[in-house]
Amino acid sequence: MCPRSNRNVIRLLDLGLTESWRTQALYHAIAATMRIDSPDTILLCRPREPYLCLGYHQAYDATLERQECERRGLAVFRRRLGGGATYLDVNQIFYQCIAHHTRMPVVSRDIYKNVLGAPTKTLRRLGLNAELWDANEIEVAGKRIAGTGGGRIGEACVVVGNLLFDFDYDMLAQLWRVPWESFRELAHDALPESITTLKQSIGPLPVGVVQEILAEEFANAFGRPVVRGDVTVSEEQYARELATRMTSSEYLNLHGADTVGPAKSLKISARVWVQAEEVKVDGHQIRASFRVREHVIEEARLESRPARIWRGVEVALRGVPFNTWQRKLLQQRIH
Amino acid sequence: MTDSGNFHIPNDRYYDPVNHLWARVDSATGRIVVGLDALGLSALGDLVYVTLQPVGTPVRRGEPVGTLEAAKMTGDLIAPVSGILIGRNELVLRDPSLVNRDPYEGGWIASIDPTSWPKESAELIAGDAIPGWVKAEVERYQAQGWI
Repeated sequence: MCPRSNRNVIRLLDLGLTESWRTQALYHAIAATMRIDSPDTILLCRPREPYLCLGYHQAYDATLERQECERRGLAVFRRRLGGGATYLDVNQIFYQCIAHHTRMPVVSRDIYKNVLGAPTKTLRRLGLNAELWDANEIEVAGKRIAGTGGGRIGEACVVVGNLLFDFDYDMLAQLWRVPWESFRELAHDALPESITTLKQSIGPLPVGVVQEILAEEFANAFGRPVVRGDVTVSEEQYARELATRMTSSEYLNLHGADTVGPAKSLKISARVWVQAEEVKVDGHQIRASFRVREHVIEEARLESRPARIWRGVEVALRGVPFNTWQRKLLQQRIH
Repeated sequence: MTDSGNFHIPNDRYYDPVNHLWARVDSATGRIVVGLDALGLSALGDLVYVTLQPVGTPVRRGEPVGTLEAAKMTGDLIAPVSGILIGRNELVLRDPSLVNRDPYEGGWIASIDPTSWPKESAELIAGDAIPGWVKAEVERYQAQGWI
């Protein structure tokens, strides 16, 4: 049992396979009630049922197909932390670190460096060449293998993330709200090219083994003992209240009430984005979708009214800096 | 202007030392214009979202008046003074990177009609105290390896 008064000890809450609402609401409850003498806490868990989670500032209807989520019976939560919408299921292990802000660095990149050292080293111990890229992305061979997000909730500094054992690329691609279908196709293709999993990198792994290494590495990362503890009755009760709020229509529609259309930019990983653009050239209203890697176009799909075959232009746009695509398009149309 | 390393801190305003917000008195209206200072921005990184309560909302010093997000990390925007939220920089709400690009002029965030300015301004850093505070904060950030 982890003593609540010993500030040096980090409490480990192993929720195992649990209800989806507990995997989001419990860490929020622990963070919201944290005081300076509360134990810093790490939760490890996996959701029994798949669900979606919006980043705090995202507009639901710019991000996800609401009707498709409902049709598939997927719950949607809004977290109080940053980052993008995530599809979460049993094939992922979540880690959620909650520490009093006075016991964490002030600078965001150092907060991530502290916390994400543990999952990064866990992957290395599993034989993967994992590294932290762009402050908060854990990569293996240039591909994202985990999601991360963070924020300040009350007096707590919170960093959460997951390790992907496997990932349902097709499901996520169907749930995004997109401006047009060629955008969805590019985004769908970008997923396996930009995001990898433990199954792809190593093969099937027992969850317990990964979880044990992760707990050890958190103790190493913080330089403090990690001791198994229990969720308190008051934390559990407050989490139930928060779960109701986090899935309420009022909270899900908190931002972007005036949003009329889907977002025209979709982040696949820290390196890869899918972008939508519209332009009128020579009487053609063009809808363009781009897969952009580190500011350079990797793939382009163009469609227009009136219809025209744009294949040559699409090929010519590959390798072009994204911010110059219209200039290249104008050059190409002459030919 | 106080310069320390890469950090520029104008001397013509007040600073909340905890949350690294600046507060400047608009001499024409008596309102307090609020923004983030360079040290605070260096800790946060590039802003991607800023939200604010609606105009007319009463705010209290030390309590949230909005939210911020940078580097996938959210946080509250804390009011440095009490009063009524009277102005929101809509340009910043649409393009938060303006705060990083021009933190002391075009990147102002909110304006507040103050209710306790004489008392609360005494709790902020101003005038001759600014250079010493900036020096101490930069040294603290350096000692922690944050900059």
